[in-house]
Amino acid sequence: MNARETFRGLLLAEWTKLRSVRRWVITLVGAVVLTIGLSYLAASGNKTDINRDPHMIGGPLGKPVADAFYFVHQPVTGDTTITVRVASFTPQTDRAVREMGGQQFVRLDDPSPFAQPAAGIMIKDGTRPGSSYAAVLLTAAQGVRMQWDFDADRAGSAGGGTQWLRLVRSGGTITGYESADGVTWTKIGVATPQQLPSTVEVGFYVASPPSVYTTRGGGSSSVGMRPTWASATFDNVQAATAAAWRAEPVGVPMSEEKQGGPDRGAMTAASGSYTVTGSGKVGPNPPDDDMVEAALIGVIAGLLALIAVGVLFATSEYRRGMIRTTFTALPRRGRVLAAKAVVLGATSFLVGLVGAVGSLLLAIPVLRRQGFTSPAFPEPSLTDGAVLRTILLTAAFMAGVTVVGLAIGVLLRHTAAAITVTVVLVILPLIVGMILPGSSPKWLMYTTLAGGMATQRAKPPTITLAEPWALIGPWAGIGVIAAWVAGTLGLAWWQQRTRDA
Amino acid sequence: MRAIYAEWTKLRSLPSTGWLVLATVAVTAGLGLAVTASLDYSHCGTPCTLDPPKLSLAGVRLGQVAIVTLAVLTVTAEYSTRTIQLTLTAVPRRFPVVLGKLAVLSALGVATGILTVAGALVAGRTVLPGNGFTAAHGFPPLSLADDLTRRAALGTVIYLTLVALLGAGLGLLLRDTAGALTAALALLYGSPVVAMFITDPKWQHRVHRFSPMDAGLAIQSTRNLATEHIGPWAGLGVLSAYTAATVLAGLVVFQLRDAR
Amino acid sequence: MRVVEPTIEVRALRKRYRTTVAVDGLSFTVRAGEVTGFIGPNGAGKSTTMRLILGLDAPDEGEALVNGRPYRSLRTPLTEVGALLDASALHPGRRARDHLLWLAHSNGIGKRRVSEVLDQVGLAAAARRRAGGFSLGMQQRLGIAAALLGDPPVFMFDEPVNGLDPDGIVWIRGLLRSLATEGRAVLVSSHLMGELEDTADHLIVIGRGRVVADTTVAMLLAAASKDRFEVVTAERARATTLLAGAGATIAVAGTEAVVVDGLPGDRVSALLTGAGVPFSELRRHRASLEEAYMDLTRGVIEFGPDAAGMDGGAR
Repeated sequence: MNARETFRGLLLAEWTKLRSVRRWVITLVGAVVLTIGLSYLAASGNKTDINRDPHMIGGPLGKPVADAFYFVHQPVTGDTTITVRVASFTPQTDRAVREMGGQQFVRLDDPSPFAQPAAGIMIKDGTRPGSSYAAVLLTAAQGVRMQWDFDADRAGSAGGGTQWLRLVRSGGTITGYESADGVTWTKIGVATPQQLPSTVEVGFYVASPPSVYTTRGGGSSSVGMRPTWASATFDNVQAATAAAWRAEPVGVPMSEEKQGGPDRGAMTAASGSYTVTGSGKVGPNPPDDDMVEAALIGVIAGLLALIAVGVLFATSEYRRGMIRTTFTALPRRGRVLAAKAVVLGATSFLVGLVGAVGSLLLAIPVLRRQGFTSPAFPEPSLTDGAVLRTILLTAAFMAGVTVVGLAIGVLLRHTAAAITVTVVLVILPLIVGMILPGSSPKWLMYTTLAGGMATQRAKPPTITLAEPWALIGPWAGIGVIAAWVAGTLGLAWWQQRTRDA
Repeated sequence: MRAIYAEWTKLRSLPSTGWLVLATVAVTAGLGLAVTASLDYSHCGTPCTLDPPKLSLAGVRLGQVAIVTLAVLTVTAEYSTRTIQLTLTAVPRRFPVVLGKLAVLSALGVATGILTVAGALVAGRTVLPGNGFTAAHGFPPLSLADDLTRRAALGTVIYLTLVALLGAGLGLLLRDTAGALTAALALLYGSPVVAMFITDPKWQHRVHRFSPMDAGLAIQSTRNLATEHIGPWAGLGVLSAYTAATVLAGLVVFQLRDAR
Repeated sequence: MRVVEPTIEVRALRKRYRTTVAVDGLSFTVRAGEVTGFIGPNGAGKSTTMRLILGLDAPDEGEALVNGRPYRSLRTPLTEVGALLDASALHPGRRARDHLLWLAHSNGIGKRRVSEVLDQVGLAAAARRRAGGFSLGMQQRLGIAAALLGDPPVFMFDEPVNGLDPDGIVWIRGLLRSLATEGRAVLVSSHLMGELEDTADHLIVIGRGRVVADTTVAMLLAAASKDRFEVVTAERARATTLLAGAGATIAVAGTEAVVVDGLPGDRVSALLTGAGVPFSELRRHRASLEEAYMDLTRGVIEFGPDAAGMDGGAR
């Protein structure tokens, strides 16, 4: 096809233009070097001793978890069933706003189903914090749920009123059921916890995660936590044996503060009915920091070099009148621009890819030596889905910004102006964040190129994270970049059609 | 000196000079206005640790881009338009040419700085009392009569002049608009970005101490001085070291190399 | 009153850029009161030489003196040398007047002079326009104005007629001649031989960084012309075959003219008459500067032993 042939020729012409300027090639290589070098340097200076924290426990899947609750249990060997009725459940509602240490704090609500006060039944591999388990529970605001191994969660009914819960262990699987009347049972889910031994602890429990508070923006941002308690009454308890129940708190409490409640929880038994008060969180407990993101600090340096090349690829033609030569030879200006964008995008994507992979390869071992290890930071593998996504999206981010630089260079026709505008679009929320830490508004992440920095996170942000680009997800981030690429290229294409060369 | 007069004529005869000075003032004052307007005393907590003069002047973190661009272009545009040949034909000895450019940029930097600081402080002074930052609450209106505010203002003027000279030095060193400008932006904005990712407080402290922008703007603080990473004048000293290094390197390169 | 006679002196100048030797042992003098043409093929070293004279680049060996002193030692160089190297070396955002103004300020020249030179080159109407909108010819005239600014006794022009329309070319010719008549030293480089033929008094031909010829225009033309005859005939083909058969080299000089090289004039006449080839004119060929230049530089461009042959001799 003639059109395709011409476009292929255009691509070749633009590629030749790009690779034949020694300065640009050096800058592209320099972008890779800068990315990897700065990532390595920054990693060398990045230490953490989060694993010394007694709350940092490793779960059965190797991820960091929190495991604290009040457990009423007995050991059972082999297949077993436990059924209870939750007669009443009283979670604690903590105040929304508090004064702590002279500053005003606001409570952060965690939408995770693991962050709910809960009363339920559990089959657990011993009472060691972090050991494998499966549980069916009634939560304060998210109804009945079945959870296991700090990772899996299945929703049951919306709850309300009395609730019957049942767990059936059969070999290596545990099935959870619920019922409103104790007669008709609905299956919620089937759990396969990691390596459940033949003898397990079976029983009922109450947990209540601590409230997380943070200061409002406009100053520094800090986080505080307060323990909470919930209490529940269990009756109609049917377990495998009539052996005695052991009642004890499991795990290390999240906060040392004594705020007037019982220390670690308590149980009172009265003719078949047990009232349990408990505190703590049973669920994932990821640290704020993202190890993969920490290994990609150099991306910003490589990005600056790429912006320079992108802008120059456009403005160098306008300066010496070369664009007239290009356009008299090929009057289809839009296709010339498209060819430039494709060539530049592909090249910078490659640069980003090499830079990201190199950074991870070099920086992650350094980080691991400096405290970024299990259980808080499980070792990221380059073939891990989230890590692969991070690598590809980061490379796409760098390519996208470079092409935006090209488009802005075409629009403004002035090297200094185009570089300035593009760089400012990337770092503006950063600057705001420097002035008022913790206050970068979310809308800035959706409207400027800085949103693309979200692509460097491999795991979802925790609620306490204050970084501006943790505010949006990586796919949202690359979406913002894609919108910018489309918008600026479209504008440049339209301008090419209407303006003289 | 005649070289200085010629450089001044060059600078003032370009319309971009006026626009970039205006941009520095407008962006700094504008960003400072946006920041101070978003503050609210009632949400501040007791004691309120906000620093109104510093926050009013903080817009310079973005506004500096304009004057750095101006300084870089003053040098690199001569190379890109090949006017440097003409300059060196008119003034054959290299040192007076550089001296002329630096002198003129310093003067412009000071003048721009004064306008910028004035604009930013006026904006802050107008907006802050309306948000509850009154004398009764321990926040008298922004005024140069206050020692620390005066120091912050003077320091910001010096800061803008130093970053302009930094840009000029990089321009002399690299001679290429894109390269010098990108290097200047990387130098200024690079280290604060890196510091944001670093979790170890010891290293964070180090990065902030030796970062040209963060150290240089330490002089804007009028409260909580103990929490700053570096002392006010020491911070400007750090920035001066960067500026001196680039200017010196640029001077040497300019003196020795062919004028292409 | 001029104490030192205005001159440009170049002595054993040598400059290399990386692996290329641009200028290799160059020596010549440009004198006052005459227009000296500086001609040579591309890459011969003309622009390099001018840059070395102006102190923009430093020579590896040798020296270049202006009015007896090196350029870099001049306190107000624009009042001693007026140079036009690159007319497009302009900032597009600057007005023409301001462009001349800063040059004036740098050398202590008054702003009245700026208006004078703008008038002199015919740009008074465009003084307040920005240089970015200037045509090639206007840029050239602005560059010439810059050279005239200091009223210097020495002038150096690199391709001054580039981009000028015929009016402009005539004007430049007149300007160069008048400057020389005023007793100034004028060095002009050009590729347009025709221009220099009528304008220049002295010629320096440069090839591969060395001086190939340093002589007056008259002598160079004479050397290129000698032993060549021009025949005007209606039967060009017959004449060509006949004379070539007799051992001459024939060059076509028009639809009805040929240049004969290698035979004496009376022999040409005898051959043509004897064969019955009618011709209306037989005269000595007056070589053009182009021809002379070709003769000289052909030897330079080819890797032959007789590179610097001024002798039009046997080929």
